[in-house]
Amino acid sequence: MSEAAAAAKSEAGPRPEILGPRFVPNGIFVRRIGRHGALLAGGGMLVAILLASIFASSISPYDPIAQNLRNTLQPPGWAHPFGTDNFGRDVFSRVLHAARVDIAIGFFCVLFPWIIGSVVGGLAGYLGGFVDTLVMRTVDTFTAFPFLVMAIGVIAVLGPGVTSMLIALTLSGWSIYARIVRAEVLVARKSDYVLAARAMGYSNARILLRHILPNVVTPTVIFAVTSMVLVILSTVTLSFLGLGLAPPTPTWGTMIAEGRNFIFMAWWMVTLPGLAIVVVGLALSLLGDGLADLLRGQGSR
Amino acid sequence: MTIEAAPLLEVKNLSKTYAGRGAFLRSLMGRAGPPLRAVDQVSLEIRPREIVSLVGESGSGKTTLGRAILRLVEPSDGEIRFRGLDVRALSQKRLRATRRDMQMVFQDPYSSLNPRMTVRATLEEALRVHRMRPADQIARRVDELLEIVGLNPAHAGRLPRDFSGGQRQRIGIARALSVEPAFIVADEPVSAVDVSVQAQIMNLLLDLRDRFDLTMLFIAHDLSVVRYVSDRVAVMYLGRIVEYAKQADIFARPRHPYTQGLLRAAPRADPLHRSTTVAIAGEPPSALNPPSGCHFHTRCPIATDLCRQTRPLLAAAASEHLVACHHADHAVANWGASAAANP
Repeated sequence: MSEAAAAAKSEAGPRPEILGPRFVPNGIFVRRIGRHGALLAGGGMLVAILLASIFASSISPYDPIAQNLRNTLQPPGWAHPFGTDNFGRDVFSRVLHAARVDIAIGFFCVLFPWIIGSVVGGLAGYLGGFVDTLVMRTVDTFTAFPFLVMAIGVIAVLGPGVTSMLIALTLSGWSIYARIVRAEVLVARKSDYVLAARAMGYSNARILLRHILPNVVTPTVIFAVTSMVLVILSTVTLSFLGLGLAPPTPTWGTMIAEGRNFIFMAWWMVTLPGLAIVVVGLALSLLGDGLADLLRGQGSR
Repeated sequence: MTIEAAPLLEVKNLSKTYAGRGAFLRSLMGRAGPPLRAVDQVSLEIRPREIVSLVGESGSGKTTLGRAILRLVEPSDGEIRFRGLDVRALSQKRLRATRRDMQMVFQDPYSSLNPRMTVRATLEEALRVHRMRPADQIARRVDELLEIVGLNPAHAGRLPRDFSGGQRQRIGIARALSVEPAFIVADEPVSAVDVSVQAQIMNLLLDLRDRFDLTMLFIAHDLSVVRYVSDRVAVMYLGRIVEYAKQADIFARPRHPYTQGLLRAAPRADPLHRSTTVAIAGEPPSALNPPSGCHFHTRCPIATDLCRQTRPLLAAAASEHLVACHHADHAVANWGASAAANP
């Protein structure tokens, strides 16, 4: 793409001088793709990954949990593109199926903290005073709590599983959204359009939900997309520690945890699920960057 | 005029005081910082269908007074009566309903519109919340409002960023009109737009006054604008009103030395005219530490000891001409003399 863009640019370069400004739109078009490049690349990668995970059962050549003890620890090859693990399971099929679980958990573990944090932070910033103090000290408390200690505590009480993981990650994640939204609301609250809304006699709930929140969510959306990578890594950590899902279900974290015992004999068992995490992380980072550019442009005059 | 119309809006001794900087810490240490008196015991009456201009330098408290009247900033003291209704006594809920009758047009057309709401959404919201029209007529009313302020209803689906400053100011005016108010505070509605657009906006406001029997408090710092739109003019200095009279009287026979200075400072469209005197000497004093007595005595050419000690009250100097100056007679005589010498 960059080659094509460069070619188009070098072609578009001399043209305006010869043919006048009518040919400039061509240059703008090229630049526009360049500007949204991160968004398109990240979005495209994510769509591909999502499709692959949704149709994992049809794409993957083997059953992800079917063991074949005569065919263990095979290196990557034509029959098994990612090799096989110590139980003879196809690593490629397992990576594809794990994507479904990991991405879903990553999504919901960002969604819930995002909603809770935005509403709580919005209220704190808008109402101010005692509510603000109470909320922000609570936020401080949660921020000060080490993530793993909280996660282990929650999972110790509730037992391992998707729900406990969701609760643990929501408890540790909401406070940062509350902080971001509160800071943005403090600025928006003093703006003329909020004063205008008060002059129109609108209720506090309406002003907060219709006039303030839509104008302050942009940074949190960008942060949410970018932090989904970190959340997926956290779920990997939890799975690695045995606090995630029960073993037969493939997740990238459990695959890496199981593979580490064989790291010198079968590098593919650890490396290739790890690569999957890197690819998803890259896709989400690009998407986050692209969204940041796009939404920032939209809010301006 | 034998029968005086009852005033639509009466403001009595209205004050807005802001606690001094670091007031909390200093009060802990037993030394409270000086409070800032943004609006200092202001009294004002506005009659129905009247446009009253409020002029003064920046920092004189014009905007705060306008917002305090609408209780967009909570006044510290004093009385506001709108159609006899005690506005300060209203509960938050009643106040929200009363906002329908008292609207505001903002100075900055760029920041006063929600950047994420289309023009249609902005106007529809106002119509819905205050139940101005049955649901099936709301869309048509939005078109009507846009036509009233001179915008094309076909553009209602656009966001504020798609409009120019003048157009946005029209949207702001349409929003204020949507709830069919009786009274509008227009806070420097033309200061932020191009000179070429200023006249259009002012003409629009005058038209609307005639068409909808509006009463307006028009906040401005540009005397040529004030001269064009107002019926009466109130001049503010450091939080106090120093003169309040009919527009013609203010411009022809100003009785307060500060008003006289403002008029002398206003540029004239006369290339042969050369200003010979400094209009107002010195800088405006800090509002945190205003001068004693008459706030203007530090810059006043005719100040005496009396001015340094006693605050002059706003009192009638002639029919419908209020002035807060101990030496208003002296000042008006000076003005007459200089006008005679310098026609």
